[in-house]
Amino acid sequence: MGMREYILKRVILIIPMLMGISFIVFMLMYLMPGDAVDLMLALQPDTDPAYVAHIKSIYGLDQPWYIQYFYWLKQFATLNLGSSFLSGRDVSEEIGARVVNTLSYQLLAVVFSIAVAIPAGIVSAVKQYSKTDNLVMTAALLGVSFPIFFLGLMNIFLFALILGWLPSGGAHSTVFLGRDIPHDFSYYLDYLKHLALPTLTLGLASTAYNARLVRSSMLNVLREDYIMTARAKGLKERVVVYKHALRNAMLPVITVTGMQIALTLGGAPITETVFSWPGLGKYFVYAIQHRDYFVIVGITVVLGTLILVANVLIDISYKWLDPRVEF
Amino acid sequence: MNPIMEIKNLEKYFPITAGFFGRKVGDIRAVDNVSFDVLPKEILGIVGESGCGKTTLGKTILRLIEPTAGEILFEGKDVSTLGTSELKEFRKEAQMIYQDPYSSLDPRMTVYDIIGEPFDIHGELKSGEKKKVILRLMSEVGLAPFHIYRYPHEFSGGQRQRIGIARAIALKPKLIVADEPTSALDVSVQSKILNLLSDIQKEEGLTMLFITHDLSIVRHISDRVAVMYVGVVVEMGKEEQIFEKMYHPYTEALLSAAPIADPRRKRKRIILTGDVPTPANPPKGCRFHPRCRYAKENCATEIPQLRDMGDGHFVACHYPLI
Amino acid sequence: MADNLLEIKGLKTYFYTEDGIVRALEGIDLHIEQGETLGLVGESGCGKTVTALSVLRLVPDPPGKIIEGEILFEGVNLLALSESDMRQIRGNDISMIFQDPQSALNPVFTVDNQLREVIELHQGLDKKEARQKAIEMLDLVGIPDPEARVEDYPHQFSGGMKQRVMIAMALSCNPKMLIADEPTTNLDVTVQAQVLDMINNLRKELGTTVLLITHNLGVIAEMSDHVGVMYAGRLVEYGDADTIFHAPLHPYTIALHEAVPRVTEKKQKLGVIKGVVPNLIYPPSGCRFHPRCDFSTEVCEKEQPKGEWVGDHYVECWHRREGTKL
Repeated sequence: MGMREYILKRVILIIPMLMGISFIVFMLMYLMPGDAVDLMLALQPDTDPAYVAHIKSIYGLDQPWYIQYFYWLKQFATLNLGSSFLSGRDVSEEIGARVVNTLSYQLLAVVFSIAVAIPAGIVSAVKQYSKTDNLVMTAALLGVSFPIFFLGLMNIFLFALILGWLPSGGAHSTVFLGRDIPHDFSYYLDYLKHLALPTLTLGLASTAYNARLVRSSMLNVLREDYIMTARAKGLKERVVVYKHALRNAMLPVITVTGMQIALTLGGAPITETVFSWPGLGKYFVYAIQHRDYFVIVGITVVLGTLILVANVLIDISYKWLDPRVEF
Repeated sequence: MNPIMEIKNLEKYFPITAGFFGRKVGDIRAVDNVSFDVLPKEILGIVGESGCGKTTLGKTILRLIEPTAGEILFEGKDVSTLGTSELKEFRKEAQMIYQDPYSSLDPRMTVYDIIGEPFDIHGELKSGEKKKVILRLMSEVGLAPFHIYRYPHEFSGGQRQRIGIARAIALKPKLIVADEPTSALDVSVQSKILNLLSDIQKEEGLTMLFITHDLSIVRHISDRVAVMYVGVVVEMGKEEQIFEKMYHPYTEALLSAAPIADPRRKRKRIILTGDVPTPANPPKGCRFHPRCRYAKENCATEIPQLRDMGDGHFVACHYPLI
Repeated sequence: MADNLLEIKGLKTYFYTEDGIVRALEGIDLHIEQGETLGLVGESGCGKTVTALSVLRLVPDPPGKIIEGEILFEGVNLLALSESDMRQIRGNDISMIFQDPQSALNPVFTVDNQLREVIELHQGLDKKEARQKAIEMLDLVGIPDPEARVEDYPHQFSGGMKQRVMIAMALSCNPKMLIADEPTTNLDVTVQAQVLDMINNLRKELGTTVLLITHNLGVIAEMSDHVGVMYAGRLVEYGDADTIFHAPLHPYTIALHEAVPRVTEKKQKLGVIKGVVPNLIYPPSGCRFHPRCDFSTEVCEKEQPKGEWVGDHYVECWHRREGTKL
C-alpha cells in the first residue's frame, strides 16, 4: 500500500471513529441528571412548568437522547457543531476562541519534552552507570512518580508563590484583558510568561518518561551489530551515536510520543483547571457542569480529530525514519 | 515393507494479502504437491535451504498446522481429517523435537512438569509411578536425577535439548519429527545429541523425520534422504544414493557447495548463480531451471514429476544425471 | 617464513561482570603472515571473536578490558596507539565483517550512504567520487545493476547479497587485513559457497590478508593456509591447515575432528567430548581442557602446559598425541 492510499484510509477512518465517540458521549450525557434548562432554572423553582417545557422543546431537550443524537448527527454532516445553550454562540466559534490556547502549551510541552529527553537519554545511555546517568535517572524517576496535578501545584508553589517569577494561572495579566488591548510585544511576552508553568508541568512529566525511554532504547541499539560495524569503519564515537544509533533509537520514542499526545490532550481538563488556563479543557469542565451538550460533544469531536491527525503524522514520520515500514 | 506413513499430494499454501481490504493477492507455496512414503523404523532426512518448506512440511505432517490439500496417511488413517479425540490419540503416536531449546520449553515449568505433562494430558500414569517414569526418561537422555526440579534456564543448550527429547519420547511414540534439533548447539554438544537421537531411535524402534539444512548431519544420521527445493521434493533415495550417485542437478550443486573438512580434498565447486527463489513466486516449470546448468527449453515450461529411477531412488528432473 | 603482518603477544582480555571476572583471553600468542588466510576455530565462548575485537580495540568497555599483551600490526603496537590513531586503522588498514549480515548493516540508511561514509572518511574523496567508488565496489562483489542497487536500503537485499555489501564496504579502502567473523554461518549452503568463493578470489586479486573466524571445520579447511584452534581463552594448537587436519597433536583438536559428521563419509558413531565448556569466571586449574580430556594426568590439573613449537607447528599440551593420523 502506498503512502497516499494509507493516509486516505486513515482519514476516511476518522469519520466512523468520530461517530462512535459522539454516540458514546451522547449516551453518557443522558446518564447525567438534569439538563441545561434544569440547571439554569435551579434557583427559580417556582417557574411555570409549561414555560420550562416550552423552553426545552425549543432546544429539543424533550426528545429521547438518541433522537437528539440523530439531529446532532444530521447537523454535524454539514460540519455544523450547533450552538451553545449558555452563550447562544456557535460551538465552533467558542472552540475556535480557545483551541489556540490549548494547542500552544500542548505543542510546546511536546517540543520541550523531546528537546530535553533526547539529549538526557543519550548521555545517560552512553555513560551508563556513571554519576550523570544516576542523576538523570533519579530525576526521571521522580518525574514519572508524580501525577500532573501534583506536579502543577508544586510548580505553582515554587515558581509563583515562593520565587514569584511566574504568574500562578490564567493566560493574561489583568491589564491585558479587555477589548481594545493592542497585541504588541509586551502582550505576547505576558502570554509567554503565563504559558511557562502549564508547559513546564506537562513537559516535565513526559520528559521524565521519554528520557527513560530514550535511554533504554539507545542502550538496546548500541548493542546492535551495525553499531559495531560503524565503529569498525573507524568512525568517531560521536558519529556512531548521533548518526547510526540515534535514528534507530528514535523509533520507539516516536510511537510513545503518539500515545502521549492522546494522553495529555485527554488530560487537558485537569491541567487547565490547575492553572485556570482558558483553553478547551477548562471550557470542557465548565460545559459539563452546565450540561452544555453541544459544547461537550463539539470539544470531544475536536480533541478526537486532533488526536487522530497527530497519529497519522506519527505514522508518516515513522515511515520517514524507518524505510522498512510498509503501510 | 509397508510404509508407516504415506504423504500424498500434500500442499500447504499461506495466503499473501494486500491493499485496502486485505484481499488475497497470491500464495506462498511453502509445500507444493509433495508425495512420499516413510518406512517404519527408518530415519528419513529432509534437507534443503531456507525457504524450501522443510519445516512447514514437518509441522503439516504432525498437523500442527492444517494442510491446504492432500492426504497424510499414518498407519492407513488420514491425519488431515481426524476429529478432536482421534487427533489426541495421534498426538501420542507422533511427537516433535524443536530447533530452539531456549524458546521451546516453558520457563516456568520444572523438568518434572515438562517431561510429565504428556502423561497428565493423556492420563496414562498413576501419580505414584509418574516420578519413577520421569526419572527413567531422564537417565535415558543423560540427565542426572537431581535435575528433576530445576527450571530450563538452569540448563545449557544441550541439556535443554535433552529435556525436549525426553518429553518427546515420554509416551513411546512411533514417529518423531526432529526439526533442526542441533543447529543452535556447539559442535561438541551436537555430536552428543546426534548420538543420543540415533541410540534412542534404535532402542525404541522409532521412525524419525530429521529436518536439517546441514548436509553432513543428514548424511550421518539418515537411512534415506529427501532433498527439497522451493516447496517440492526434487530427489529422494537411500543415503548413499543421494550422496554418491545423485540424479538431480540441484543435489549435485548442493553437495558440491558443502565445505569438506579436509584441506587435501579440493573439489571443483559448482557455484550456483543467484539466490534461492521465494516460494511466493516460484519459477514456472522446474523450479530449479533458472539456476540449473543443464536446463533445456522444456524445463521452463513443464513441471517434472517425482519418478522412480529404480531401487527406490526418486528424482524430479527432465534430464537426470546418469 | 614470510613477514608477519600481525603479531599478537601474550594478549589477555577480561570482562568485569557482576558475577565476576570472565577471563576470556588468557595469554594468546598468534601471528598472521602477509597475504595468507588464518583460520581461527573453536566453540562458542572460546575467545575467537574476542581476539578479533581486541585487534581492532573494539571490545565493549565496560565490561571488557585488554589488560595485557601486545598487538603488533606491521610492527606497530596497536594497544599503544591513541584512540584517534586507532580510528585511522579501523576500516582503512584492518576492516571487519560480521556473522549476521541481517543486522550488521544499519537498516535506516541506504547502501550508498553506508559505503560512502567509510570511503569519504579514509580516502578523502568527495561525495561524487565516493559514490562512484561505492558502485565499483558493489560491482566487484558481484551485485547486479550496482548503479541502481546502491540507492537501496539493506532490507531490499537478500541475506547473501547483504553479506556481499558488507564485504564491499570492508574492502572499499583496500585494507591490508580483513577480519571475517563467521561470515557465512547464517547463509544457505549454496550462497555460502558463492561468498567463500568470492572472498577467496578477491583476496588473491587484492592481496588482502584474512583472519577467518568460524566454528565450521569445513569452511576452515577450504579457506585457510594456517589454522589456530582455540579453547577456553587459550590458543591450544596452531599449524598449517594440512597438519591441523591430518596430524594434529592436541587432544581437543582431535576430539573436535571426531565429533563432526562428514559429508564425504558416513561415520558409525560420532566422537564425544565429555563434560561442558568451562565457565571462564572460574576456569579449570592447569590446562583448561584437562577436566574434559581423556589423557589428563596430575600435571595437567596443576600446571598450565608450556606451548611448544615444532617447526611451524605449535601445541600447548602435556601429553601430545604424536602419530595421530586423521
